[in-house]
Amino acid sequence: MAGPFRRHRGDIEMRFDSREAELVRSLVDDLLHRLGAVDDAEPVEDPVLRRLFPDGYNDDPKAAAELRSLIQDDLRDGKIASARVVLETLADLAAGGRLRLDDAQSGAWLGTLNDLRLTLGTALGVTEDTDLEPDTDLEPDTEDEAETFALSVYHFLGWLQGNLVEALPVQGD
Amino acid sequence: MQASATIAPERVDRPEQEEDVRRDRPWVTIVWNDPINLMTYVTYVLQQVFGYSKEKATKLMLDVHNKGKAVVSSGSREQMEFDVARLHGHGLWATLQQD
Repeated sequence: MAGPFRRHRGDIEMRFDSREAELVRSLVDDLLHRLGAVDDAEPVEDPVLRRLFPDGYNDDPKAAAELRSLIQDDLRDGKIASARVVLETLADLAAGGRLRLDDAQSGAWLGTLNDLRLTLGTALGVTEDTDLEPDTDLEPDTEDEAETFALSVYHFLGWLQGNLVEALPVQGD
Repeated sequence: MQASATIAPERVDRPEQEEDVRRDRPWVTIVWNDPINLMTYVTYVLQQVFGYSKEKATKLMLDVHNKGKAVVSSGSREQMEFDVARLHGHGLWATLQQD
């Protein structure tokens, strides 16, 4: 079982087992694939991408499109760069082990964990009332099992991210 | 594609008077509640992006959570577009509008 993230001599450290490292790696691969399909300035249609690249204006489609044309490629490139940092830091953890992150890598992890949660949470239609630890004793069927698994992954990512936020130093203090 | 750069675009007459009237109304950046972002993460982002104290960032986060939205910054339209872009970069759901 992973974690928790801890500060150690200026770095952030966390223990991952091989299954957890592989899970995060495969989720980040999927995220990179999804981000790779985002055009520089084209409005995105898919609900998950709309959450990752929201309109900057609620009631002004023309202004929203103009702002999108100015910021969407940088936004996408930033997300891709962070996701790649996460993959690099996981490269040596195929068999599990200790993840060690410097400040820049911690920032990349925090952003990518958030993108993964936005992706999965939007796809699952998560609300503030969603039970993240559903009763697994219910009559199992395949669809329920898939959703239960996805919710448990979402829960795990939230736990990871919450932990990382707690471990990070803040500039504003 | 853009039209050839050798052709100067025609200048469009802008309704200057209307702009003048609207100029003193500042623009604001609004963060909207969403069910996914962690409360601690939203507080952290507001501290990082704006340099707000933990108290101020926490109060704004709670306004977002309890009231559905909060104004997190105000200023020129360009500055608010910059703020919105930075907040989107952190995955917050933010928009700008004239106050």
